[in-house]
Amino acid sequence: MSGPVLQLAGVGRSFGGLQVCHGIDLALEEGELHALIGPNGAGKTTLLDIITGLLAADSGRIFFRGRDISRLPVHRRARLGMARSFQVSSLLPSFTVREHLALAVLAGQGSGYRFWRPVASDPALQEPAGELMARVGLMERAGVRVEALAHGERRLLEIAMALATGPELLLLDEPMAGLGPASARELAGMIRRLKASLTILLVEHDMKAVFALADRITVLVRGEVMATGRPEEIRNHGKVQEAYLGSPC
Amino acid sequence: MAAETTRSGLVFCGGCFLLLLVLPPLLDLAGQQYLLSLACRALIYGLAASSLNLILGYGGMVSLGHAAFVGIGAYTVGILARSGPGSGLVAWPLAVVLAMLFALLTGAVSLRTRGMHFIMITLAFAQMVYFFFTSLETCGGTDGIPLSGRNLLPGLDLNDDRVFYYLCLGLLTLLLFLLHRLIHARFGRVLVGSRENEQRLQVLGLATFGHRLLAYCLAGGIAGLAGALLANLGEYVSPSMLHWTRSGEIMVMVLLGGTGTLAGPVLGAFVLLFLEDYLAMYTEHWMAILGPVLILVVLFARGGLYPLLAGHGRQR
Repeated sequence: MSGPVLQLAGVGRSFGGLQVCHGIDLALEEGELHALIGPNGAGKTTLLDIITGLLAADSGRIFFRGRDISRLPVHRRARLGMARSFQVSSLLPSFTVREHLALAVLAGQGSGYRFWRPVASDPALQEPAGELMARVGLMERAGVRVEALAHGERRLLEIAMALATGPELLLLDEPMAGLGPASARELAGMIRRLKASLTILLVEHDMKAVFALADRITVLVRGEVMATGRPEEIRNHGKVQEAYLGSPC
Repeated sequence: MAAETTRSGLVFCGGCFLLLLVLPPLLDLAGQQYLLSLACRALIYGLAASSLNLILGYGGMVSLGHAAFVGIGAYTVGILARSGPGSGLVAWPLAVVLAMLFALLTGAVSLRTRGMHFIMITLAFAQMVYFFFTSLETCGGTDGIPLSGRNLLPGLDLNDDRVFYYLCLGLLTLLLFLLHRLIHARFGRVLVGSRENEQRLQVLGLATFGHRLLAYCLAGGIAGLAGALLANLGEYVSPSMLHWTRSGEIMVMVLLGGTGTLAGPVLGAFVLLFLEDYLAMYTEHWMAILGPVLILVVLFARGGLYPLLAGHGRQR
């Protein structure tokens, strides 16, 4: 299919008098890993909220595979093939790892309007859930409630949940935040493998990971796009270095 | 994970069920037949409390308007019975359908609110129903509607208190079993999930509103059935069934027995009604004793009496 998977045209949003995003244009091509970087408060998470529909944009339009989704509710956008992980893990406190993934697989299969068969013994849900646990290495933690999970394990569960719905577009909000170096490396490897089959928008502060993984990078500063380009273009971009990167990396 | 599937929970529930099964002959032996009607009342309130538990305990929707559904069910039976006792096969399903319809209409509005606003809006809708029925002369106004007898069912003589008791026990058991399946099936998982983190479920692509609304309608329908049974039990439809304090009582049963547990609300109904009856023998100020008891339970048995008695944590 031709044309961008996701396209933003002049998207803006303000809270009271504070303009958090302003006139943002962005296009994600099929199969690319596009990184979104910028200093704290640049509006990165707000932009992800607008794309997923948790926040409404004040202006501009959003297209998914050419279709205007600006006014679709959150769950309808997700059903089109969009999945997201959250910066601050957003999980269900009393659910176990396995229950989370069964629920996410269920969501990917459509609706929850089935009233008889127990989820816990439904192979159509449990088998994919098991594969996902194996994929992110949480198999041994299957029966543990998220309350008892370590920070890094919650991050992995976030990503496994995002993958469970079988998305075409993956929005990752700082997946590496708070991970130890070893786990971060492991996660970077996983994201690299995902690139083959998915289009990814990655918000991340770990610049080493961003420059190693990204096909293209967009720099967001104070709610506006300062630059978009391939990693080496961004690295050598004068204004970006001044505003954000500080020293060349 | 599920409370009812742990061994101690099963033993406790099985024991209670057997006790309820042999209760009528036991009461006969003890010469305490009058308690049978109280036990029957507790079964019916157990049904109403279980339906509230579906939305409150599993769905996280704290509704203070449950009496409306019970009342609609009772008044349906009452109004149909003015031309003489009719068939339960007509009156009861109609009671359920009308209560569900009311739940659908009010739920579509009130489920758009959260927390305190939801409590207030469900209370407001229930009060509207209360004033509607008490101001209609055809519904007996504030006097209610006396029935000339219980509904007719083929092959069952409901005017026999024992038959009626076993029918209530059977219906309660059946509905608890259906609720048990529902809670562990996909629908239940989505319902419990949206209690925990609704936004996350929407981002996963689940239309949580529809699931919550359906749960609300199902709860309304079951409460409507409880209302129909209640009218039959006392052969009288009272406006007090619609009063908001009745909603509060049903909620207390759920909290007392254990929210989010299958057997808890039934246990809560029995404990509350029997305690009320027992204390009322000694003092007319039984509320003064019951109040502190409830506070103690809330403080020291956080998950309610059922998890305490069955010896495990609350099912979530």
